[in-house]
Amino acid sequence: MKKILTVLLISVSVTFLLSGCRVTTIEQAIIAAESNGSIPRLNHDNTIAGPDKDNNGIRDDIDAYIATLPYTEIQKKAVQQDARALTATLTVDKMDKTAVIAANEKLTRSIGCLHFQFDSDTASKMFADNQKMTVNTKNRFLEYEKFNSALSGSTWTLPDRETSCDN
Amino acid sequence: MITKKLFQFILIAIVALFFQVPTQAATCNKSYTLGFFNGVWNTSGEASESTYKLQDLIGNTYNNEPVKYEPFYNHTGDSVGSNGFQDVAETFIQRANEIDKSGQMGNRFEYFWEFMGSSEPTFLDKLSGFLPNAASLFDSVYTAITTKLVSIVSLFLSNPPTETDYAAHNARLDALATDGEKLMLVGHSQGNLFMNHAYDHILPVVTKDRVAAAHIAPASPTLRGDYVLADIDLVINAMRVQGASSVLANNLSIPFSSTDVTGHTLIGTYLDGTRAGRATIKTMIESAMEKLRCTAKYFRWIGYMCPSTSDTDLEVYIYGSQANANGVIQTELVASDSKIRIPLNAQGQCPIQGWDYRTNVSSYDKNGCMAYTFDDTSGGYHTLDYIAGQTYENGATCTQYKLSAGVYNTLKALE
Repeated sequence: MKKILTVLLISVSVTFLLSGCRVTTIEQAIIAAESNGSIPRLNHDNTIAGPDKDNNGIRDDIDAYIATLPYTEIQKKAVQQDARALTATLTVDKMDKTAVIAANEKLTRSIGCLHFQFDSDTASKMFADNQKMTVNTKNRFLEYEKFNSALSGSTWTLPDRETSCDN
Repeated sequence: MITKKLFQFILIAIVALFFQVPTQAATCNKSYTLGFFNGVWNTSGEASESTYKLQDLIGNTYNNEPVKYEPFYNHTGDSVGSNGFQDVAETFIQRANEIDKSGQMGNRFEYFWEFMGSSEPTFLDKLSGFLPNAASLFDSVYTAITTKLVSIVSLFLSNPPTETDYAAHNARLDALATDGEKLMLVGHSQGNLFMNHAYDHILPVVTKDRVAAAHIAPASPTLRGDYVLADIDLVINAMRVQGASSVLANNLSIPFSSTDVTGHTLIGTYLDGTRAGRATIKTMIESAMEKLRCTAKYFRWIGYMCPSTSDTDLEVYIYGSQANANGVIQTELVASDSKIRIPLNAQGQCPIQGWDYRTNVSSYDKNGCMAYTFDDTSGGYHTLDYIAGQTYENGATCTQYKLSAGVYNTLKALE
């Protein structure tokens, strides 16, 4: 079913591009922007974690996006750490308070790592981008809501940025 | 052997002088904790992100003392039994489907985050590059979401959180107070309601010398410190338009930014480095931190030798003098204690051989009695616990004094 949808979307895209590229609807604008790569083509299936063929804890489409970023390898690892931590917030058992807190600690450390590897504005943008691309369907959003709800009322201490990166 | 006559001329009073301000916390670290109370629609990651931005703003030290940072997280809607954030998401889907009948946008929640202001609208901008009238279409979504957000904040104000919602925050504040931290509380949007409660909870424990508050975009009509509210803040302005007369007046004028449509976000609006809010907030927080003082407590023991006191009148008094930040005595607190006379042994001799260390402190003389330190280190200052652990003996007068449990508890309550 997923392959059929993908083929359909590509067909529509090709048809649209061959038709002279006159964009009159938002749908066409999305297709055009994703087709020419100005917006990453993200996975929007019904699963929570999404495809992760290399089992690195990051959705493959986000992995591919991070690979295109104009940053050093160590900086990309920081972005990957954050994407991995965000994905884990979706898949963690929300009834397991200890696990939720641990997932939040990893997420906080990953943000600290971004702030260690990037200037403040870029670090903020990297986190915001990872969040919007990871939590990019209603199902994923609802899981993320459960995670944040489970943390409501809690407090935590920001770790040292210098020791926040996994590698 | 010392005669009883000598005892008649001695009244031992113990004076405990508090330097700095007394609090109920036992210690005082020379460090700050900045607690951040997040605003409406923040995820836990965004609360952390915002706190990191405050760390960038204030730094890891202030007045050469370390500053630690802690998010005090609240999740929109939980405390009032509302699924507020989900309502906003449903609003997004509905409005997105209205401007895009194909449902492509409504299924792509990356746009939801951009409409929310959680991310710069980079993808929306890309779409606008392909579709010239996109901006006008997007306006309807922005408006619908902002309206929904305003209704959630209004609901929150009319249904404030309960003690259960505050419990974990209170517990953490208690622990920080016991640790001796100076507490700088910063609230944004609905977080100000949580912060107000937190401030009220911890104030009696640490006094204003160790806790301060700063409000950013306060949705709350009541304040515990200075505030900053931008004139472009659509959320707060909409609340005012809807009749929320208790909304505070704007006191920050900054230009609109297309990357920050709501004008209400902490990072996008108020901490934006290109506009005036950032510097204003830095000044507001640092001014509040400047007033915070370490409240370490030290005691100085002083006795009185009086010429006309009878043996049976011997008493011990405990005086606690509260000092301000510069050590100037402001008030005097008193608690009574009983002195201890050591009975002579069968041979009529005093069984103790000790001798107190005395140094006259004439500035404390009163009522014809001569003041002197009653201490083992020539009148030095000590903590209450140190003094409570000492036994002061004077073989010459065969007197002994050890702080009684009752007076210790009285002084502890005054800390």
